[in-house]
Amino acid sequence: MPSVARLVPPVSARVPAAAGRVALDGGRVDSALGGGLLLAGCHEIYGPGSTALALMLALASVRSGPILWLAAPRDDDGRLYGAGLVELGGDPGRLWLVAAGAALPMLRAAAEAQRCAALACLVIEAGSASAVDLTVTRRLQLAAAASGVFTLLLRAGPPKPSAALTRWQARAAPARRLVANVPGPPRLALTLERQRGGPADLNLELEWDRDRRRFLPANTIAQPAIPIGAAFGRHASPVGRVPAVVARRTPRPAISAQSTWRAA
Amino acid sequence: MPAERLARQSAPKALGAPPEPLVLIATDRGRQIIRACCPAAEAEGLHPGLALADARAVLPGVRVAAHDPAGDAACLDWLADGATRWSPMAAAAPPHGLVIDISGCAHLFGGEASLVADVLTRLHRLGFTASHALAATAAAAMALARFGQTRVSDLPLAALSDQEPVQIALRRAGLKRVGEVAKLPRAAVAARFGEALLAALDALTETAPQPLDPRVAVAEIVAQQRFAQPIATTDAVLATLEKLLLRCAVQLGARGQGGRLFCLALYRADGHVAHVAVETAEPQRDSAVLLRLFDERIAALNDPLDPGFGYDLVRLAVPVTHSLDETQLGLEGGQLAETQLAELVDRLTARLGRGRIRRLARADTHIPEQASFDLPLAGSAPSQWPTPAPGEPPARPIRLFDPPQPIEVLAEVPDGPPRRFRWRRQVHDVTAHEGPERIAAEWWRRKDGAGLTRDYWRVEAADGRRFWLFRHGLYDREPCPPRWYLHGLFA
Repeated sequence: MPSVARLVPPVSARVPAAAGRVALDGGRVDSALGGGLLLAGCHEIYGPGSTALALMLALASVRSGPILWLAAPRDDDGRLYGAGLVELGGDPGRLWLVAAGAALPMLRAAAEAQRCAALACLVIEAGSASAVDLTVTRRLQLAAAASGVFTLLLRAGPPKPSAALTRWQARAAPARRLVANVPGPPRLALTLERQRGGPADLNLELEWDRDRRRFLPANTIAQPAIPIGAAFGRHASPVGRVPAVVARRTPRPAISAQSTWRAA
Repeated sequence: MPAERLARQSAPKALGAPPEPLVLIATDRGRQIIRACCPAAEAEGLHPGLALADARAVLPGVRVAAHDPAGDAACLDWLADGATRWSPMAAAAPPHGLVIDISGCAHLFGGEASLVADVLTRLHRLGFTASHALAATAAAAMALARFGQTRVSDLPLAALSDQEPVQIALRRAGLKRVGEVAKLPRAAVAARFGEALLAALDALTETAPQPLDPRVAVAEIVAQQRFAQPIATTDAVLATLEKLLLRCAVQLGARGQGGRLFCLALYRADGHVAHVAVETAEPQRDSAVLLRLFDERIAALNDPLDPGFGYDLVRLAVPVTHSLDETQLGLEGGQLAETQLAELVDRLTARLGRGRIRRLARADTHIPEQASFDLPLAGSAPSQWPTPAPGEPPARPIRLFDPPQPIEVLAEVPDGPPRRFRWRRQVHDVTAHEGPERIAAEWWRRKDGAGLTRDYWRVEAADGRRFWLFRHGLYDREPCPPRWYLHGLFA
């Protein structure tokens, strides 16, 4: 049985944020939230970008400890991929996946987990489960406020009444282009739909900086100059990652696998 | 016993009225032979081995049922489970016997005689007639009980061996009782009748004790509570459990140990035993924490505990222990966080079961779907993941489809990037792409030594979503026409 000490990584140097909050854009939305997203609370995220936003928020919060992920019962969107989490700047060893099977056991496990203040983040993938109603969200919010565990509730479908602190809609936004029209770091378009006791209906576009594990507001990023003859890297090398237009014959578009035409 | 078990199943309430004679039959080479009969049938002169036709001649109205040896064995195991209330060393001795090692337990029940009386009463209440015997070895006791003797030397030859040829040989030598065989010189017996007979003789005459194979492993630390009035409510059970946990904690503390596995056995008044077990990641002896874990486990049981008429014996055993020193909990950070996390893992394991909490592990392979997978948290060590190059966009998706989802793609042949693709009935126009990243099949692992190459593309669609597509196969070099798949979704 490995020692639990290895599960708790040391707190590395990160960008300082307001105490107990996660900085999003450092400007308009952060001041609307009161300094940033409050860690001791329960936040709801809807939309196709919910997984990405949850992972980024968990990494951006200045917390050490495991991230407890209560997975959805159905596997529609694929499984979480460790190598992908590394590419977002996280350590997959910190992620604990719990497959509770159904909505009720998942919510009970969530109640258990919210009593453990040593967790960095608790993510509940509720999907469109009807069991998550006003009472449940109120209980989650109260427990999060009492113990200080950063709780994120990922939901799907039409938004329902809830007692969470904030409700977000998250979807992917077009990334800025790097050399040779390569998509750059991931960007998310967020909408703060509801906030308990604060302004709402704010739109935000954020880019994820994986090296410093922080968000950057999209409108403040200057387009970087293309390095000429720069060092080794994906941008500069003409072969390999950058697509080379190598035409073996007169290029003709083909629909693969379903058409009977192919180059002789 | 089989007939009684059947009678108990079919008419559990009619214990007072004398039942009709019942025999159990099996078909042997075309004839129906009696395998077991109830005491009433035996009194009429029927015995196992008689043909059913002859039995019907003797007793026309006899009831007949099929012989079920598997059911008998299961029932015997169940009785042996219940027999652990008198001593942890209880075992089933097929076909119809129970052996209980009561050395050291007799004083708890007020002496051997009252223990035997208790056993017989309970068995009679369940509907079984039993004959008993006490001896220094298990084999001697079984033989004495079977043949109804009080001394080993009076046992007939059948106690030494079941086989006909051996019994005939012994009879031809003029021996009729086990006592006479025991008086012969050992070397002569071994030479004439074989080593197996000598071993059986030794087992009976108490010179070579045979170890018993108990049904449940004997634990070092045990605490139990017996009730004159059986308890049936959950609160009473939990209160008893708390007291037993405190007593076990005292014993563990005296040894400087903590327990890793705690087994609670609840003995019902009608012979049934319920087992609830809890295991912890780190050695524990704190009764509050353990009571919490038991709470979770009982709440998460598939079939809720049914007390029936009540539990009259509750026993807590700690089979697995490890040394546990007195640790000073740190005021903040470090030690306290570790303990909290370990307790959370224990609670979730107790509630959901082992293997439900998983961590991501890494394998050293190029094939993406095999490079990362999940393992149970408890038995695995964290893997080392390589750090990505700074300043680069993510090269791998955060979600992976396993198996990859087939899509229809519009692309230049032979190795142009995808321009448009259709997935889940929605068409996406590719506005930016990165690739191809070529991942070849691991030909050294395949029997045919070949495999299709994949060309991976990281594409962004018009609405901003980023996908990981690949073309499975090359147009010219590999035989089948290539197909396109969607393997993952990026942030």
